Amino acid sequence: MAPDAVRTQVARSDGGTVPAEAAVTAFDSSQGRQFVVLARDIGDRDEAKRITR
Amino acid sequence: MNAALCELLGSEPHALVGRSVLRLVAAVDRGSLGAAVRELRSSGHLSATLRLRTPQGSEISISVSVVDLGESFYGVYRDLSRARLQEDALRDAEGLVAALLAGSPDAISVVNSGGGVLRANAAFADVVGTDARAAIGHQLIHWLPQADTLLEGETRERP
Repeated sequence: MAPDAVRTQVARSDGGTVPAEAAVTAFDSSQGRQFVVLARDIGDRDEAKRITR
Repeated sequence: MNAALCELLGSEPHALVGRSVLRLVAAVDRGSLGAAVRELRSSGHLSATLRLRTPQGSEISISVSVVDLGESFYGVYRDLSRARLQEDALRDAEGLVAALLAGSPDAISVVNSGGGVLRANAAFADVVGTDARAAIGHQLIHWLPQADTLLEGETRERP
């Protein structure tokens, strides 16, 4: 994940939420400025931390 | 002839002057020359795609439009090899992007400056709980409440 990734929550369509790290990269396309948004599900990582504690 | 035709054929003008264009046609297309010349004579113009063999021995694909001016012919040649290479490069790049998106375990979306989803991969669909195609056209903020802040931050970093 990119160093400037931020912790966030993804809102699922079924009403649930998923903890995630998100990073954005901008690029200039022929259609104007666009963004690649990458979101990594870190739910398993959080769960592992919780169990370890 | 102009400089573009010389560049297309990889030859200096003096090497082409007096040389029959027909002799430049690659062997594979010579069989259709008779019909093409007849069409040119009868209709006064001809548009065709064919391969030329350059004086250096390489073959190039061209489109040609020829007009019969009576005592001479006016021909416009367009290099299709270059266009085909560009199409191939574009197809390769698109294939690479599609493979990277499909194979990524991370949710990836491409959005416009207004936050509208233009593209999303299967992992994105899995995380947000919808179909990837159904996500297209919707606002990313629907699934990622911090989307506006993230996009604004990226815009500020790269003005």
